[in-house]
Amino acid sequence: MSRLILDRRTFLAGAGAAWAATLLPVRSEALASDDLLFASAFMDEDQTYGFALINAAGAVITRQKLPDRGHSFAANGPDGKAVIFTRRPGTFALAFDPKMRTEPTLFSAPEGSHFYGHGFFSTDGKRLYATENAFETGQGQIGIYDAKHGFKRIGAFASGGIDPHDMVLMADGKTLCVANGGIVTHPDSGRQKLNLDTMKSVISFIDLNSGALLETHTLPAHLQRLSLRHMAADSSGAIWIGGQYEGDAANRPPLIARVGLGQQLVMPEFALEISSSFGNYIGSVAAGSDGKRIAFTSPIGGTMFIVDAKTAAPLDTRTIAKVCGIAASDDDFLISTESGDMGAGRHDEHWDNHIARVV
Amino acid sequence: MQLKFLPIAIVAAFVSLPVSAQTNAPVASILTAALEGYVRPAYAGLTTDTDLLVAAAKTLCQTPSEATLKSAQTAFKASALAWSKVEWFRVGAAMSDNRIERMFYFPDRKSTGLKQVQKALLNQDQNAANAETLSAKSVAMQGLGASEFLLFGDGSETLANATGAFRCAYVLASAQTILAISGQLETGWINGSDVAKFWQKPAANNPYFRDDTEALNMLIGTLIHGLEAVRDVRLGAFLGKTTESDKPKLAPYWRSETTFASIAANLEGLQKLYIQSGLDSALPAGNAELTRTIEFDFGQAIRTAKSLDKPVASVLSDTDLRRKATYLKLTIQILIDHFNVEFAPAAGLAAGFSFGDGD
Repeated sequence: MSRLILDRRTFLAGAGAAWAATLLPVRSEALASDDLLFASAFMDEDQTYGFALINAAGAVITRQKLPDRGHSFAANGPDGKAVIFTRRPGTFALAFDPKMRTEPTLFSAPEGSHFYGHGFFSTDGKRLYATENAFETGQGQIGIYDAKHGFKRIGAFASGGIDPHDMVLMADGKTLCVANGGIVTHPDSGRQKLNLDTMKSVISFIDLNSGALLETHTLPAHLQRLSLRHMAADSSGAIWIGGQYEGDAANRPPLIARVGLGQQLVMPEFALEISSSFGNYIGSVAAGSDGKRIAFTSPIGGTMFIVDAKTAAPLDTRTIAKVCGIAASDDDFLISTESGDMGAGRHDEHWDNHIARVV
Repeated sequence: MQLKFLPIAIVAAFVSLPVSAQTNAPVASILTAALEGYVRPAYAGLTTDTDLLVAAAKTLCQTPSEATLKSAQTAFKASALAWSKVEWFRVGAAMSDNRIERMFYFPDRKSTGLKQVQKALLNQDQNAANAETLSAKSVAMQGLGASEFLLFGDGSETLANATGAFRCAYVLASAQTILAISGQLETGWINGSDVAKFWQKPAANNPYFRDDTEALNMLIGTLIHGLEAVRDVRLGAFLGKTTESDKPKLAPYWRSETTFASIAANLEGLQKLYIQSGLDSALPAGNAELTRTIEFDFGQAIRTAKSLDKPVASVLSDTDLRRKATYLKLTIQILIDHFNVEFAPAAGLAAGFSFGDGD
């Protein structure tokens, strides 16, 4: 199925059901035997897209085609369901059972909106929240979907900025932290960035129940072109953020920030050889399973960097070409590369930016 | 260990990186050829043309007439085309001080520039009629976009007589800001400038590229992203999926009837970068057919764009011409695929898939 000829809304309206039937149980023994199960989107050798379920050793359990490029996942929905979102400016998402016991559900962003690629389930699994672009106004929004009833969209609230990308539900289960990257895009202009001269990244804290904006954090003028996009929470509840710089490549601005509700946004100071190793682009952020370490990956710099969440002391810097996907796995991290590495496994797939633990 | 954070308020300005003496041939020779055969001549040409625009604006203001207005309009078109040849090269001086947006603020979906220019004309805002104060105002009311409205938009006929004195002063100020930016771009790449030194020497501490592979990626990325922008932001701005969704008044330079000429110039600039750099020498032997095909498709796209030498509304309302515009878009896509799917992997680079595009 060619992504070039497939209109996504047509796909949802027509062929989607037949396509979804291909997602019936595959290698069910393997699915049942793995304690940890991860998912990642990919592009394969013939330039088509999909996502795979992977075990902790990096072995692919099953792979499924997608009509467009996927991005990230939400996990721990009702009955263990997970959701993969398409990449900006994608308009569809697919809810699936990682154990492949039930048929998947395709659903889309409302007319006039597209997904940004990230989302999460409420702690009771009943609602799915997704970052979205209401592209005629350019305002960021958090779409709310009823996970128990076919992922019907039941509401939305403002994200507190433009270009909401990644977001984290705080440990209290009722406060949301959103990384608004600040970059205006419009589907009519593809993925082109339309406001780099005025872009403004905002970290917002939002009350999940009311959608009320609790607090925002912004960057100083000299970091105006820094887009804060990915985040992870440490064991203390602090949020660690990785940014992407849209200014002159000769500059080396700080890319890593830490913030908390009621706490000032701060940017740790790292040695020049570390800050120079990111190529001004951090693609993923993940907390270790104990929440005491935070890992940042840069596919452009070919760097995986781990800090101590309490002290911000660098713990490890690894040079790994085209590394980006990362997720906590037991006492270490499962990482993937654009070149096909997934943990200890080596595959033909070009792994996309994110890995999510889905079981 | 003590927390090692810097509040963002005291984070120092960007770090400048030293230049290494290490060189890498033959990629270094490709980079030098790109600099000497494309970057410097393109910026020098831009300065020459914008200098003529300033001169024509001065003459117009001193001796307003139909003839001097025509000369200023002609000089404007030459400047717009000179910028079109280099606007997608986004390295170095172009990436600072919002120079790209100040040179040509586009797309402007909400007509911000038009509204601000009209307001300045209505109020005879003296700050708009002075290059120094204009350069500090909104990016949307300076540069080529504002100049085009002043010279070709409603009320431009007043420039041919004394009633257009204020408007003409604004034309001159706008031309002077364009010339100033052009000069900054040109001097940013002179021999001995930091960026020129970095550009020619991939090295571990070079902020643009640490090795040959990164250097080639940047060059190919410039071509791919430039072609994507021409497809999505320029053609995509006005050429809809159907005639009903065409938007001729959102086309770049529609008032001066320079739309397709600017698109042809965009493509000529990218073609020149490709040819003058000798980028094809990065391919191993046996790829002569690919390089011939790329050169042919560049030529085909440029010829097609030049053949559409009419006002954009006329092109869109003519079935055959509109089909040609659609063909142009398809040819640009084919060129993108050549670089993305064929050239990049043949040169040992990632195939058609990159994390480094803002997600």
